[in-house]
Amino acid sequence: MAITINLDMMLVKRKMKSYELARQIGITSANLSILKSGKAKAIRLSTLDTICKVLECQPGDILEYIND
Amino acid sequence: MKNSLLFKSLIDIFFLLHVIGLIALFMRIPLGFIPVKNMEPLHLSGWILLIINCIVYIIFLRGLFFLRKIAREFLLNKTLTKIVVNSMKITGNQFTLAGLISLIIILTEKLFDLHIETIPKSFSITPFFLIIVGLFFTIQSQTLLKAIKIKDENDLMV
Repeated sequence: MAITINLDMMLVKRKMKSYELARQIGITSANLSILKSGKAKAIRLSTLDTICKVLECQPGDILEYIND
Repeated sequence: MKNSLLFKSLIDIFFLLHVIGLIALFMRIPLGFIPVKNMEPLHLSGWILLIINCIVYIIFLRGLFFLRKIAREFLLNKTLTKIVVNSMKITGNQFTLAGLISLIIILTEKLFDLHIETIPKSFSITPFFLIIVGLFFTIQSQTLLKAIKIKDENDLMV
């Protein structure tokens, strides 16, 4: 897929662990792993909203379009 | 649970009876273990039709065998699996094929005025019904395949 998720980079910038983010946004670590690995087929706007709120960033900081 | 158990039991009984029927048919006519009274000797076209009918019977039984697999999966509450989809597709194809060939045989019998009383007459199911059931299973397998894809996508939605 041409859309990549730069969640790892944001977590490093915010000095936050994956499980902490999962706990704060209310999803399981397994689902967060799916999101980080790029296996996710879709992301709910509510999930994106919570991630942005917790990481204090914009959706564009997490999602990136790379033309193949 | 009760319905799937009943379904599985009925399919098993049906399959077993048909397997016994097929064995009895082989023992009666080609092998001649069981003597047939008042039976006219078969001519070449009669033998050909008899062999084709036996093949149809085997095709039908193969479909029934895969239907047993589906029933087993249903009993384990596994409805959206690849095994169910594949088995349903095979069952549908086998039933449709068996129905089509039986229809051709019936038409041939009518056309050439052949009377073969020893052949089980399309296992008491009309070929049209068999074709309809076969096509239903084929369509159902495609629907289930779509459902599995949607489920997979839904599982990967975060």
